[in-house]
Amino acid sequence: MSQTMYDYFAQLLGYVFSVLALLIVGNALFITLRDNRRARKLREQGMEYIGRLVTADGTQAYELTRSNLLGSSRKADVRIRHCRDIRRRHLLLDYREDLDAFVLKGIGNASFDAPSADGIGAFLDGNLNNTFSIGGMTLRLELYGSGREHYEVLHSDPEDDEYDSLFN
Amino acid sequence: MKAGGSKRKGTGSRLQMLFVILFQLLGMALLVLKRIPVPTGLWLTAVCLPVVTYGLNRLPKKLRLDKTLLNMVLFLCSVSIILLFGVTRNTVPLDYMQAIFALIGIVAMFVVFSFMKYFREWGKLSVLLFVVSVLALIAPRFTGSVNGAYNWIKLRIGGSVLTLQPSEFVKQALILILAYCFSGEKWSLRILGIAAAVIFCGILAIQGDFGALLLYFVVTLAMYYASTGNLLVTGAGIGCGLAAAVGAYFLSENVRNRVMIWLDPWSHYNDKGYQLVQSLIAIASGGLFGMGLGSGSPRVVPLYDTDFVFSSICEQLGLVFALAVMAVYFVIVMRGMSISVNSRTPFYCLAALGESVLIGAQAMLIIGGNVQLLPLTGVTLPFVASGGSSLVASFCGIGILEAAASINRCDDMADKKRQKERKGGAI
Repeated sequence: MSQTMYDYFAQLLGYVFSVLALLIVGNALFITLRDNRRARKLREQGMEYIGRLVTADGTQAYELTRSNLLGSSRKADVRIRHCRDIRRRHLLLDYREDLDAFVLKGIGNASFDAPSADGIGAFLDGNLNNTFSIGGMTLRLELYGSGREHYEVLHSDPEDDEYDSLFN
Repeated sequence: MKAGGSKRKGTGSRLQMLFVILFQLLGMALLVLKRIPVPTGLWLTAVCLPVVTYGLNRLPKKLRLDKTLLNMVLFLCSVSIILLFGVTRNTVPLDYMQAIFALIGIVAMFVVFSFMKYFREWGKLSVLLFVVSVLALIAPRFTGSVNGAYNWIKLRIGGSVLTLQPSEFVKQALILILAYCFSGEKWSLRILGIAAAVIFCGILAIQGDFGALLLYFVVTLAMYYASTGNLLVTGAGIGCGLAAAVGAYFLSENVRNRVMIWLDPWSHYNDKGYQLVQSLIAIASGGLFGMGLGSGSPRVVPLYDTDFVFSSICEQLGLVFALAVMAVYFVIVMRGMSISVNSRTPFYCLAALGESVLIGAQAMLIIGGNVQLLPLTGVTLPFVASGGSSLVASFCGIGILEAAASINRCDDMADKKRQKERKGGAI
C-alpha cells in the first residue's frame, strides 16, 4: 500500500478511534452510575428500620436497624449525645434471626428494670414496665412490625467475637 | 429483552467489550496494512488481543469479576500496544515486549485476585511485605545503577539483562500494609503503618526517586484520612509534605531543574527543556483527531514511549481520543471509589480506596507533566506507558480492586437473598 493511501486510512480511522473511545468511556460511565444507584438502593433496603428506642419522657426517639451501635461517638448508629454516662461505644443491639430476638452485646452500665434470673430480660413492645437503662437514660423499645407479639433483649458475653470484630 | 420487559443482565459490559474488540481489530488492521510483509509477532498480537479480551469477558460468573473495570483496563492496554506498534522503530522490540508484559500482568492479576479473596492473615502478611519491600527498595544499590539512577534491579538471565523497578511493586505492598494498619482502631498499629510509609519514602528520597515518593505520600495521606477522618493529623501531614518539597527544592539540583523547566521550558529549549517543548509541539500538531497512527514524528520527543506517552497519544490519535483516555482513568477511579464505599470490611474498603487514589494520582501527575500543568515527575502512565514493571504492578493493583468488587457482589447477593426470604414471611 502506498504511503498516501495509508495516511488517508490512518486519518480516517483517527475519527473512528475517537468515536470508539468516547463510546467505551460513555458506556463505562453509564454502567458505573447505574451500579452505584443499585448499590445505594440495596444499602437503603439493608437499613430497613425495625423499631425505635424512645426515651422515658417520650421526647426523643432513636431508630433501630438490624445491627445498632449505641454510643456518643460520631460512628455510632444510634448516637446519644449530651449524656455524660454514655461512652463513645457503649453497646451493640443486634437482631438475631436464629433467636428471633435483639441481643444486647458488650454491655457496660446498662440494666433492666425487671431482668429474669438467668440474665435474660423479656422486653415487651412499648411496655413501660420493662424499660432498660443505659448510662443515666431510660429507654423503651417500640417495634414497627405487625404480627409480632414481643421481642426479647438477651444479655450476651461482652467478650463475644462478633463484638470484638466490630471494634477491631 | 426478556419476556416481561426486563433488561438482560450484563448487556452494558458486553457492548463495552464489543467496542474494545472493534478498536483492537481496527488498530491492528491498520498496523498490518502498514507493515507488509507482516511480521509474525504482529500477526500473533493481532489475533491474541481480541481473543484474550473475549476470553476474559466470558470467564465464569462464579468469579464475580467487575467486567466494566476489566474492559477499561484492557482498552488502555490495547492503546499502549497499538501505539507502540505504530510508533516504535527501536532495535529492542518494545511493541512485542509490551504485549508479553500485558499477558504476564493478566496472569499476575488473577494470582493477586485469588489471594486477596481467600487469604485472611493480613497481619502476618503485612510484616512479610514490609521486610521484602525494604529489601527490594535497597537492592538497586547492590545491583548497580541504570542510566545513573539506583531505581532498578538488574537481573542477568542467560545472556540478556532484565531490569525490574521495585518501587512499582512496593506501591501495591504499601497499600496492603496501610489497609491492614489503618483498618483497626488501635493507634499503635496506625503509627506502625505511618512508620512503614515514612521508611519507604526515606529510602526513595535517598535514591532520588521523587515521583514514586510523591505517590506513596499521597496514597498514605488519603488512606489515613479515609480511615480516621482526622483533619488535624492529615493537615499536619500535608504541611510536612510541603516542607519536604521546599527542602527538596533547595537540596536537590534535579528538583530545581524540573521546576525551572516547568515554569519556562522555552528558555531552555536546546538543553533541559527540550523534552517538554517537543511534547507540547507534538500535542499541538496532533489537533483534534490526530495525524494518524504511525504518521507524524512521534520519535522526536525523547522518551516518547514512557514518560511522554500521553504526548504520543495526542499527536497520533488526537485530542478527542486523549481526552477520552483521561476520562477512562476518571471512570476507573470512580469505579474504584464505588467498590471502596460498598465494601463491608474496613480492610477491603481502604485497599480499594488506596488503589483508586494511586491510579488517579499517577495518571494525573504524568498527564499534568506532559501538558506543562505540573513539573515532570517521571512516573509512568498506568497501563499505557512502555515498561514491564509498571504494567505488571498496575495489573496487580487491578487484582486487588477486582477481589474487593467480587467480595462486594457476593455480599450483595447474600443480602438480596435475605431480603427475599424476609419478604416471603421469614420476619
